[in-house]
Amino acid sequence: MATDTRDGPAARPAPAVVALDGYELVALEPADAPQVLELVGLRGNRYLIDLGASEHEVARLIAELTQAPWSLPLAVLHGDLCVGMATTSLANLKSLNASLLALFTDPPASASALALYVRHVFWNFPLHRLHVQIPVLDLTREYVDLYRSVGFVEEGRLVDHAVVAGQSFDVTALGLLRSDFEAWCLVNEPRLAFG
Amino acid sequence: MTGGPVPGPASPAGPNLLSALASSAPSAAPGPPAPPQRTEGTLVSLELPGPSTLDDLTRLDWLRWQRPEMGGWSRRQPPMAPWATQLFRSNVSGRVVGVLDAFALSGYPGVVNVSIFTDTAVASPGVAIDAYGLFVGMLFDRGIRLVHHEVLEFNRPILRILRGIHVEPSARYREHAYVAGRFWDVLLFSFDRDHLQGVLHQFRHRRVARPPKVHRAVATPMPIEEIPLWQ
Repeated sequence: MATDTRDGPAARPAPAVVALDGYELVALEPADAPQVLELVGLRGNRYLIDLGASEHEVARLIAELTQAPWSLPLAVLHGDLCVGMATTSLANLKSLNASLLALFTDPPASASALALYVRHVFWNFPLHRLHVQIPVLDLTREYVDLYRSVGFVEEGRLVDHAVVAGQSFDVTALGLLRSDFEAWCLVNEPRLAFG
Repeated sequence: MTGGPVPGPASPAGPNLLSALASSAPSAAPGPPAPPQRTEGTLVSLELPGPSTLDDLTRLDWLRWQRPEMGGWSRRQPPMAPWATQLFRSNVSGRVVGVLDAFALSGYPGVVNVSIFTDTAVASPGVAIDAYGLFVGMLFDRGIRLVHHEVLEFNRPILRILRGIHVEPSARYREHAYVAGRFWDVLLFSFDRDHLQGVLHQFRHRRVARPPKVHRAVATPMPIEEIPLWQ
């Protein structure tokens, strides 16, 4: 049977969107390890991830991430300034989900940047779902609000799972389905919609 | 009884990214160095897998991977420690009837994800609960801080049993696991040594004791008498 190669009314692919409202996504490279460590040291970021203090070790981890399936380590620029970074990791290829971590210099003002990143993840990979875990601390509350602001849903808590300074804390679990995000885009940011 | 983590290359309850890479070593607290080869229970005995039981482990894994409630096809991961995978053998029949696994939950030191699978075709009533109690007690003795379970929403037997020991779900991951042709929710549970001791105390004094406090839950626990001890 011959293959039909005629032009037809096929759907057009949605374009990549890597810049929005002054934010720009760029690849995160091992050479960016000093900036990552600086970012981790701000606000409550150190409670989201413990990377130690070794630039060499962080560079190695970034290099590993770039090789991992469905990992997308990117930096977020605003002008010449790096205002954040984000990456997916721990991809589950069977269940089409991955963990997400984002660090920003000013989380309450970073909804557009985070939405831009999330859109690029769903644009690149056939993920069905992203999930995030945030220790329940005063300093990390702004991240829960940030994730909720781009469509993530609180799905419960992991009781006493995190240990900070010898004390156990609950961890807030948040999840975002692809369909959640598509609906969020249509209502809140049509420029990120897949069409 | 069946129940356990949803299989995949990464735990669905995994932590944020880089920390998992940074903490790939077993996260269990240090415990006694040499696990006993055999631990006797009332109905079953736990034993470490070895060359003589390799066929049993292979058979159980093959059966497990055909059960939707166990998440379908997966691959056996390397154990986080020598004691983290144990078979259980019926004290009556002498047959290996199930397997228990503990997996380190990346990024959360001292927390392990526990899975149990029982071959219901050969297991007699009560053996799974006996084996589970032995195994979880051993984990806490070795310094584990929390036992964690991830259970598919349709795995009613394990959900009933967890409710029966007054452990309620603390989170529901929406459409987190692809099993049997579609996505399903995954329920998360956890409990500590104090909770287990409270439950054991209640079992020993079930006729007079009040139910222990439910572990951070709001639902009314199922009475102990309703726990299905059928496998």
